[in-house]
Amino acid sequence: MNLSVELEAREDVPAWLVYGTPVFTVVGALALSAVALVALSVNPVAAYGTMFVETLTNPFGLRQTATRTVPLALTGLAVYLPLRAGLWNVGAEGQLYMGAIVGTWIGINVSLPMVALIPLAILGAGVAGGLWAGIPAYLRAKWDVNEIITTLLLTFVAVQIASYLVRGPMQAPTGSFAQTEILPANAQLPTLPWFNVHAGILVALAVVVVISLLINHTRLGYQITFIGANHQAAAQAGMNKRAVYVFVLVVGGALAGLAGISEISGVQTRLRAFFEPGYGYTAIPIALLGRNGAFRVLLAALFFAVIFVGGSSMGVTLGVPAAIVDVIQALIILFLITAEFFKSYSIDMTLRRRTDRPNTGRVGGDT
Amino acid sequence: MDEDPFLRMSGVRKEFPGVVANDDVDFSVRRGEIHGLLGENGAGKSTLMKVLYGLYDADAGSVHLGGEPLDLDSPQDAIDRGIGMVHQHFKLIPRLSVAENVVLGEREPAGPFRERSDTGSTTGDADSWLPDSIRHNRVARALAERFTIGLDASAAEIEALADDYGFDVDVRAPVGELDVGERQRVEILKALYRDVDLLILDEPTAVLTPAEAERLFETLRTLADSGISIIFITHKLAEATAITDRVTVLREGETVGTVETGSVDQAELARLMVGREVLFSLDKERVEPGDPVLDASGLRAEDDRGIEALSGIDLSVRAGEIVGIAGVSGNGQRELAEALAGVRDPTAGTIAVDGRDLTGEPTRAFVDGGVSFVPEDRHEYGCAEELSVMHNAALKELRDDRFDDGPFLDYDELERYAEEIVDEFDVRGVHDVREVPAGDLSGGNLQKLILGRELTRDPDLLVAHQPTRGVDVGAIEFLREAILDQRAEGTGTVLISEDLDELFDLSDRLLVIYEGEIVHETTPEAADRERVGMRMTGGVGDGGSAASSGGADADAADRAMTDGGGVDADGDAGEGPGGGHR
Repeated sequence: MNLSVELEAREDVPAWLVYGTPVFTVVGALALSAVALVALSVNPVAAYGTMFVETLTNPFGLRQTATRTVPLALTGLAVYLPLRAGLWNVGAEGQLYMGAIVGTWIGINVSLPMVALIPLAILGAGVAGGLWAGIPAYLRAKWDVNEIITTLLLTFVAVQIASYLVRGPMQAPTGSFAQTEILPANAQLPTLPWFNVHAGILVALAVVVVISLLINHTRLGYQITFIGANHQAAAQAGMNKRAVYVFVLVVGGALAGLAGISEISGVQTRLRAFFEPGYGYTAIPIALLGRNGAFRVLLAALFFAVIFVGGSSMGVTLGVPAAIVDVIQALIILFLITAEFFKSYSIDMTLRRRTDRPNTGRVGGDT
Repeated sequence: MDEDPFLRMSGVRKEFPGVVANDDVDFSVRRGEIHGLLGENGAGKSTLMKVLYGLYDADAGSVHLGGEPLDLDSPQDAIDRGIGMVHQHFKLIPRLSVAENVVLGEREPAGPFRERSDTGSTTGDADSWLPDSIRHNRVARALAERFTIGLDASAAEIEALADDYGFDVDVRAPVGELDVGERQRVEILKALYRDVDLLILDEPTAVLTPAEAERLFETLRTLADSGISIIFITHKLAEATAITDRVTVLREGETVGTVETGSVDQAELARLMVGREVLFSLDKERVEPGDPVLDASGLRAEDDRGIEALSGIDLSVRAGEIVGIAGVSGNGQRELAEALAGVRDPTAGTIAVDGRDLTGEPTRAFVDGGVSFVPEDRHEYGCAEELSVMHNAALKELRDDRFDDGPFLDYDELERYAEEIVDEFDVRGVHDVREVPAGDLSGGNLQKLILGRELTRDPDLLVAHQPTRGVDVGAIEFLREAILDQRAEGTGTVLISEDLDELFDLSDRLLVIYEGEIVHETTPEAADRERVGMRMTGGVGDGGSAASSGGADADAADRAMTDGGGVDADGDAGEGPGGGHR
């Protein structure tokens, strides 16, 4: 008996597979997670009902989802944009931190009316995130230093800077918690009246549109795409690879910075030592899933927001341990990424019984 | 036709989604013959050989080797049955020595487990500390073959094998230090070490110089005389007639026929291959050269490793003139092409295009200054395979105003532009320029797209490096004519090629590059091919150092050279300043 597995790259991906894959994989991940839920005597149907149906039907769940989508979409784009040019920005978390730090500082220390203060804080946060990403960008453009390493390691530096600041220079004078003061009201993002979600969502949507236009309708976007596809051919056509590298990383970092300030100013209201939102890491699978377009990044961000919000509400209503919720989320992400592989390769498994073969000198069987 | 061929493939069919790559193909090879497999790119040669080598399962048909049916699941099975293949891209590990590369993959167990002692090897039995009972135990051997590896295996044995076939290879040298021809011999050695009866060579001369190819042919003759059957895949007619005993021609997945090589000429083979008459002589109109479009002087440049590859090149090209550069690969052609295209910064010297000094300017200044470039490796440098034909077609003209749409890029215009190139340059296999990725095009069509992109912008200077390498006859004809048409439009062209026929057919002037210097200048009319060939390999003309010639021949060549030199000098006088004769 011999099991042979043939792996072939698909020439065309059939349409049903393109649209079906996410559905199948999510269902598959949920089915596997159901085993864990049953083991904890939780009815998986009820659990998933809470996770998805309730989240998407009640106003609170929707609001939460929308709120979560904002930083996920922004950091997702922060990874997506460099990815188009073939660079991996795995340090969106750190850029988000720098945006949060600078934005918070501006909000607390600058006194201006809201219409001026909030744009200033957003601008400051964007510049901070962009500059933070500018370090790996410069190193990459100038010396070809691998950006995966530099962006990632700078994240830890940014986290430690924040940790120091909230215990030192920026610590709230009242109380001894490791946190800053609460942002004054005119530095907090207003809540949209009819929707009850902070105004950061408008920023996120606008950024999605701008990035989409940039990539699909401008010369710069064409160059970014071409450099991402073959930077050597691009260089022979006279494109300035290094300038594009700097651009995508710096703009990406700026977007992550926006995510930082919108999260502080719209949700948290102050920078705490244990901020650690993790959006910058989740952004990587988001960008991978949405790598074909900015709007797909938005969709992927929305999907992850549903999983996060639904997961925690499942934890609260059904008493499912938080760890299990994490497991379910992780499984869904794993399944989705694995599915990308099956989408591009067809696998053909055949089990056949061997007849007596001429002696080819092989001894012993494959096990 | 054959009573008892060594290999018989009959009725082979292999279908891929949307394409029938092989349709009822019959193919047979006699023992000890060199059998050419000829066909255009995409004719199904590679597919057929992959079926034979166990890489593909045929959908229908049968394969018999030595009278027995052959049912292969993998190349390992093929090797076990005595079939060896030398791929176009060598499968060697540069850091390992020749001997190690030869042994690699053979699952030669480590020294103590080794049984082989037939060719007088110094290792093996003699110094094994393991008792025979273990060494000869089947299970122990199987385990040893699987889990130990004897990279130390008998260099002596391999050396003996190499000597048997007259291979001049230092088996202890790391493969990374060998040149292409030597690497190919290592690949052949690998197959011989595995006791092949049938050796498949996939376009073996694509990477070789004429002299190296000659040498390969000798080797193949020796192998065939010793009873090994050889399948020689090629799309070069000259080779097919030079080396093979018989030729099978494939066209569009079907067998056109098998002929005795002696009974046909090249034109007949070309007709079989393409299905129509092929023009071998191009219609080259007389074009009066205009003002110089390129003036390069004292050009020096380094290769990627920082070693000087160009040692002072003077080159001048006038409008409407094609200057051919002949040379053996690796003598600075790539660096010259890249320096002229502005991709590689020269370390010394100047480059002026159309009278404007562009030395040290970024690539973009060259592109905008009217320089077009067809790089040697179309996949690596010429296109972005995953992007659409449209993206690739507009690459060089991207900054042109016509694509403006306010602040945006006018994709509709881009699409029209790409469609124009696709139509005008007969790029086949493109049903939608936005949808089809460039990487899906066959070699010839991709090259037409690239040349089309470079010529449609009506450049002042075209730098074409191996523009027809590895493409089929039909496409070669088209590409060469396109270059000639552009010459009539007044474009000056630097044509770097290893194909002497191409250079002689297209060039107005012919230069020979050797070790980073122009060592010879002539015109196709005045040139003597042998002498050009000798200059390419570093021969200088004094009898003593003339490469690979016997005394009498060298004298003859020497005389020819002296005579020819006079003609050259006359020719040069008419060419104006800047000629690179030294």
